[in-house]
Amino acid sequence: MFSVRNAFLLAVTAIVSPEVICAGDSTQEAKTTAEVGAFLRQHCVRCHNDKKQEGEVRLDDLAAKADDLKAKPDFGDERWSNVLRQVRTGEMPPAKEPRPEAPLTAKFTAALEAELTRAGKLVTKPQPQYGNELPHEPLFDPANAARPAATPARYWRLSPQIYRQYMAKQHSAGNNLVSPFNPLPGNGFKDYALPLTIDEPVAALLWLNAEALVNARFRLDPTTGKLEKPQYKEIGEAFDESIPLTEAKLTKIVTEEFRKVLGRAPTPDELMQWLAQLHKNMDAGGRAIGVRMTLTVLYLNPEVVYRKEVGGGEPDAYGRRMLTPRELTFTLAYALGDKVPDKELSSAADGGKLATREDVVRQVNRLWDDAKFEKPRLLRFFHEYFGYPAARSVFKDEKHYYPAQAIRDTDAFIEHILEKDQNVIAELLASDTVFVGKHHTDPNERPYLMYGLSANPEGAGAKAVPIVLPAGQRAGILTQPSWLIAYSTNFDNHPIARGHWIRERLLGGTIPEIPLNVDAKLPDDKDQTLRQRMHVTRAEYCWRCHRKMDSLGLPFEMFSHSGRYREVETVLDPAAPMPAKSKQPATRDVPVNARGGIDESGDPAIDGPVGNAVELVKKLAASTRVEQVFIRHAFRYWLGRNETLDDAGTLQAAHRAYKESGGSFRAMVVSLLTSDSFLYRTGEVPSVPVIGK
Amino acid sequence: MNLNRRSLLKSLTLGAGAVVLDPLVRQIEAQAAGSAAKPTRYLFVMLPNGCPATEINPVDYPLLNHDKRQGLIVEPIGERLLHPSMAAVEKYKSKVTILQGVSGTCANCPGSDESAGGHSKAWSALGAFMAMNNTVPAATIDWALGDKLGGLFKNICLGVSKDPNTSIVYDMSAAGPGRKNPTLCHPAIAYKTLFGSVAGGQAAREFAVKTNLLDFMASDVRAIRGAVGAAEKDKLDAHLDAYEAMRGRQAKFETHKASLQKHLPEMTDKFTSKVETDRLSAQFDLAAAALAGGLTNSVVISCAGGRAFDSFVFTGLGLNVGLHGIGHSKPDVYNAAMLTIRTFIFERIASVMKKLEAIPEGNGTMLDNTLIVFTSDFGEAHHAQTKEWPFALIGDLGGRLKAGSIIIYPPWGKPGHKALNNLYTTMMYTIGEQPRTFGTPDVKLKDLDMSGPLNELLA
Repeated sequence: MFSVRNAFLLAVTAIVSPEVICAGDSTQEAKTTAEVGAFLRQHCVRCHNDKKQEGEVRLDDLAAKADDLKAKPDFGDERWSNVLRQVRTGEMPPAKEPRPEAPLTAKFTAALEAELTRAGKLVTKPQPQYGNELPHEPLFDPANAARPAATPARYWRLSPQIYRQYMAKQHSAGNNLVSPFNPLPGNGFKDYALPLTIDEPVAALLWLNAEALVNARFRLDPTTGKLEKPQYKEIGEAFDESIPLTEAKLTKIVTEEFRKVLGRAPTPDELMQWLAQLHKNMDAGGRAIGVRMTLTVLYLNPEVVYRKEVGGGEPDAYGRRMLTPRELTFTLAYALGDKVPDKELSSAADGGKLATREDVVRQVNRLWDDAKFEKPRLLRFFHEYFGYPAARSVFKDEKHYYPAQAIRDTDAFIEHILEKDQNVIAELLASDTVFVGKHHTDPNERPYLMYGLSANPEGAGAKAVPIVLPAGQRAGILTQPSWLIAYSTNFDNHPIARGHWIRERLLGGTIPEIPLNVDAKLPDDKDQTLRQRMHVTRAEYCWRCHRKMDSLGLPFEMFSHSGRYREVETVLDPAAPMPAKSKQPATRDVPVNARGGIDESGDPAIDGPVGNAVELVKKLAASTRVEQVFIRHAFRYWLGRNETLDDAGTLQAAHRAYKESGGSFRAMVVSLLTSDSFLYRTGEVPSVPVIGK
Repeated sequence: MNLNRRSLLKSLTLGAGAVVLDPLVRQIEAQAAGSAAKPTRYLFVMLPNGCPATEINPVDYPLLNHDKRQGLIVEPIGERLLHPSMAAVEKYKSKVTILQGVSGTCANCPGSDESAGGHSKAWSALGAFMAMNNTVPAATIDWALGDKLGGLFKNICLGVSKDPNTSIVYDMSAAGPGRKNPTLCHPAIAYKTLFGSVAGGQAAREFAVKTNLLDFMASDVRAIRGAVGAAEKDKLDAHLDAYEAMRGRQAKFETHKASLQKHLPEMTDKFTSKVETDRLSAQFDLAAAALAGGLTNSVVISCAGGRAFDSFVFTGLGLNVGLHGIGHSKPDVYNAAMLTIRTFIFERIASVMKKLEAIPEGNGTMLDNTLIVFTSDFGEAHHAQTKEWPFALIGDLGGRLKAGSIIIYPPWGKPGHKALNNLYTTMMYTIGEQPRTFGTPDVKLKDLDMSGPLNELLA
């Protein structure tokens, strides 16, 4: 017969191993073991045992498998990872049950994570939308600031933008090539290191592109059969069968092509391999085909299609190596822009002036100040974080709803805030100013109507101008038409998507994916307001997730689905007679109810009801937690990966830099780009979380 | 992080990249199993923007509104004229089946980018399943068929995009859970991918050099594996596998060279045209050549559905309003524009049929063993309820299917009602497979038995 007491003891043995706890400290070990055991006993096994299996989940057998102290539990059982995820994200224990103290939860999850890591069975999802599964509080706990931070050594596939720029720089024919690289799908960050790979269709396209570029570079004159524009003598001779092709000439060709394509000379080994390949392929295909096709391969070299970030030099005490100067040139250039490193970066690397953190600080600041260095990745961060450019794909016609104009206006708003660079997060979320441009030439198109204006604002043209709208109507991006349209459906507001966004992107919460058996549709009762139609989400099963979203999204009912301010919502009036000479049924106006609230945010100061969206965003803008969550997202964007507990120091430093600079976005990003997390690379195994530190 | 090589690979898009058994081996296997010994080809043609039931029904056969229909009806087409948009295939009408009343409520893809803002069922259309949040749960029917039928490629998906620079999307076909297949949107690229081994005068020598170079490229990737941890190694292994698959296919191309050369399509200006309909037309040429040349036995052509739907304009047909604008037009404007589009597509279908008809096979022609499946990727309307999902099938697969009728199933939820699951199950039956169902039946139809094939269609 199963014994809860036994299961608890055995599970404790299984989950916590001495190495995880402060080594050699038996008192600490016993104390921690007892705490973790208590957690299991109090919060898990009681509802998930052989007799009672809430949610059809049984956990007692997992613990029972540890009955034999000599045997290792099967950490390959995916329930272990599920337990970790459920407890860590606060989904379990359920809200109706007594909630464990946060430090106890942290210790339990750290121990389980350590064991799963040690067993090589830790299943974490590398995509950005799962980043919040790591609890927020420990990341900003000063006790964790000293953990050694580093990013695993990696090859980060180029983004489509970088690939295009690179190929275009190689030859003008590159402008016509298609990038085979798809960004990450979904609403969020698009360029992440681990999930993006090169599969066969992508490799096939890379080959075709390389071929097209090489064919353009080495175009033969149809009459003479010779190279039209040899970039150096030896390459011209390679395509002229009448001239002998010596080993010296082939060496020169390989060296020149390496310099042009990879930006460096070949190593002696590489040179030997390439010469052998050239001979082999000239034998198989003839001289012209052999040379041309062999050189094609350079455009598929890992150094071209990936950003190499492996690090070099001697490892430090934590096994970390700093990025090499050459790697840094690319990493820094691609942090802010899409183009290969500029001359100053390359010179600094060649001259030994890109070897220290101070060197990096100097170069990041130089790039930031250099107006000629294009920095599209700055605005792209806001595009991908807020998601407002999705307004284009919500199928609201430009002639009536102006989504493209709304996006441009929000771009102008952000650029203005970045220019001032003070209290950026609060300004983004709660500024009472909007920017309104005038791009439409058709007099029937009046995008200013989006903002309740009666005419184009004075001075508005291609460049948008700032307008302060009546108090209480708008505040910050979340109340601008672009964001509101992006998070709407074709015909309705989408309070759930809006609430989902706030819960994840501003409060750092998690929301489970929609279960497959859920028919995620609201009733289509057109005589009811959207808030009324949303009553279906109050069903107990639905509310488990919807309690995290609905009250955050409903305050935006003060706007229509096209982002216009409103005080009434129009619904059908079935009781009224059909209006004469109209095919449309009668309607009635219902006063808008924009009430909502913030619950379980993690910041008790902002929890509580709100009357409308403006109240909501002003509360959010004043929250330290919201600032921190914003910085976590900036970390993900610039590091191209999800944060770990080892990155706590990096995140805290970035937050400190932001606060001490009066809310400077630049200071925060520079802090991230000069952090250990950004500069150091390490081997495959992340450091094991340490309990009690 | 525990992302082993195989689990990563499973999550990747294999599609045209999957290594396949040699067709001969498959044929022997099939014969041994007593099934699918007959050549079988499927061509799925997916229309965007919905296809109302009346718009593919013979005009002189009255079709009641969906909810007013009673019972099962099987009515011979006989001497009736096909719908005007199908004039190009009128001569084949004895092999045409108009399938009405089949529902698609089992198919949905909420939260998916490829649903084109709720204007396409994307993979669900061919999967008859729920694909939540960009995640596909199973293989689509085109892959399931191609997987059994063999060929150098298990399936080939061709599409078209407004922007000629969009070369690949992953929006219509899937090889299994999490394995989205690529849709090749640019015909010039599709041409080189499918027929590159035999195209051009220097082809043979270039082909030999490329085979060498694939090994060399793989060695470059292999050389960097040592510097990274396990998860990164898995990623690089996927890259290596891509080269291995390409290398494997190089060898298989060699064995099919004669057949490929025989059916090599002519690379005309339309392959690179800026006019969308030219490029779409080129994709039909490629589909015909791929089927005829034995590259594959399952092809999907997505005519601007899924991702491409966004703002797509059939300018080559004289239309200047995008698909979305057409969808929100008044019914007569919508019907007129969609008539133009469907007419164009059926003309392209007829051109494929003509090519296959010219190639002898057994006692007949290749066309005899080919089923063309015309439908929409979004049921019966621009904003469809999908309680009905009209189909036009052309062909009888050498007598394995009954043809020449209008089959109208009882309305959604009524006894005898059938869904995409049943139709796709029927298709599996045609190749000797007998699954209980295909995809996942709609839970709201749980009171009906939605398993099994369409007996009115199976011969």
